[in-house]
Amino acid sequence: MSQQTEQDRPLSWRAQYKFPIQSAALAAIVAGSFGVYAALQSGAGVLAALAFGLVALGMVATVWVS
Amino acid sequence: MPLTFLNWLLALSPVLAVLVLMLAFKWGGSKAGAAAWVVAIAVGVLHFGAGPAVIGYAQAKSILLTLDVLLIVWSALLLFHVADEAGAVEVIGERLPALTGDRMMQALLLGWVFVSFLQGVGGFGVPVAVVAPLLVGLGFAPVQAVIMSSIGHGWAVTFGSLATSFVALIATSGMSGEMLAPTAALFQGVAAFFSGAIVAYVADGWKSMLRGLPAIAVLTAVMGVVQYFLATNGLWTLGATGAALVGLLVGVGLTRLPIYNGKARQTAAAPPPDGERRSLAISLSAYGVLIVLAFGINLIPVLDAAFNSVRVTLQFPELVTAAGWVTPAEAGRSLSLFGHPGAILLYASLAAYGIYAWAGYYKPGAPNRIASKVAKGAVKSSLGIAAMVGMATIMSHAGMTNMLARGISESVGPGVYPAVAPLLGTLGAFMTGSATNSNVVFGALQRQTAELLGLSATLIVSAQAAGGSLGSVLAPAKIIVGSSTVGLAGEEGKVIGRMLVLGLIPVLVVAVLAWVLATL
Repeated sequence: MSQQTEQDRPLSWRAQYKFPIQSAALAAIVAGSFGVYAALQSGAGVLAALAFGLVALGMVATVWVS
Repeated sequence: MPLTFLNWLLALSPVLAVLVLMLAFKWGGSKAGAAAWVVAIAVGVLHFGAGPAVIGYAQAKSILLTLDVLLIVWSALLLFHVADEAGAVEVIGERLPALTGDRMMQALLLGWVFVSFLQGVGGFGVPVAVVAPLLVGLGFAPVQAVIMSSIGHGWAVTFGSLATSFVALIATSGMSGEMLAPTAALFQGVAAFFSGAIVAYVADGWKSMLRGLPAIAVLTAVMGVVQYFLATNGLWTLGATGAALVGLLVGVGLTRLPIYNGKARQTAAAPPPDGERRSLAISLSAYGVLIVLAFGINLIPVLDAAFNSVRVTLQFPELVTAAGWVTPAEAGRSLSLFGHPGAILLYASLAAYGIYAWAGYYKPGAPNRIASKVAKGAVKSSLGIAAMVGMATIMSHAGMTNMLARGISESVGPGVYPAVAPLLGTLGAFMTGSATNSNVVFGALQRQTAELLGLSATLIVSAQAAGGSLGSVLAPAKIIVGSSTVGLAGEEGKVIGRMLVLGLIPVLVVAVLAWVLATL
């Protein structure tokens, strides 16, 4: 019975926070995309990579939580 | 990069990922789109030589295209929920069938014209969810109700949802709305006739359909002309809305004719829970305000200049992949902050809220419920659109779309392709459940294939829009949603077969029309 509880807990947590995570993912994708543009225009390659990482994080979160 | 089967298959891989994930694994659009975005980047970088700058700038460019669509999605949902929370949508749906006792005319008014109006102002599954139960309430069988309300609004999807899927097509094909609107509106107008005829047939059989042909022809002419006029004068966001509104007025007039009147029913609508009878005129006011604002801001030059004076745009450099595919330097999508169709929808929503609140149509807590419904409905679809548009833009900048177009153009000749184009759009919408997704995935591909084959890109891309529009109502996902609203959950098999046979008729008509136009 404790195994069923532990297996259920991650699913219910994900279901409970699905909307906030999706909202955060959308914000990350939009903000990150503008960040990539600004960093590339400035020649800041590392910042561009970080910003793109934010976009990628948003996409991965979308797959995970949907 | 040479055209080989392996290169072509790799270029197709993101699209295949979307289709396989949605069909075989039953993933939703946002989830499958995000996964396909990852596939597009991996293949673009590892095989097609797209470097960090190409990928980064492509992603940035895609977000402008995405926002152009999302501004409409969010505002359209807001306007719909402002009206729905006030009970206005329900009032319109209940008053219409009371005008006539003729079952065929009831079906046409609700299952063809009103459902198209709802597609025009909302979409996103709302038309069938609202109209199918209303048809069941009138005595139609659940299977009939789902089929009528689905096929009935297929012609209105391109310029429906405030033209969301059309704007997405503009974004990904790189063609202007002014170029695409005339042919797209022509295809949709022709398809409207067959949509109406099918609704009449499903409602009451062959004889009623034949009796209804004059009414169907009149309504098709009216709605088709209005949609064409609006779309070709820069008001494509109001294409389906305006057409269906005028269709409702004309349809009400037709019910006065003896041949279509039957025995008019007494208005049997139950009073709303709060005891207040709602006015049809006030219920329609949200859409009246929208039309006045849209016409005013777009057609009065001083207002047009004022509202469109503040624009957001970004400049992008020339981008070259290691394989030599070049994307020229260009400005990204320009977004007008105060004149954008999404902004106009916002103004209309605020005005409508004021009107309904003044009329006392809201229960306490309405603003919170409206905001919650809008957010929950919009966030998920926003993710799907962002992912799919990102995928399509990256594919285009990596040269993958061009590879696909080259392969198709060498397999299907120019004599046949015009008939294939709408079928491809239908396939895309059938698989993904969305005309917008189909347009995003195939818009650029259709244009490039047309150019390689020496065909009119305008004709082919417009055919894509029509095919996607008509195909979206046939998607298994949409059928599942529609069936669940009339108690057919788990029994979708009763609906799907008949829906596919009937629903492909308008698609084949468009395919023939596209082929004929290409040969002229």
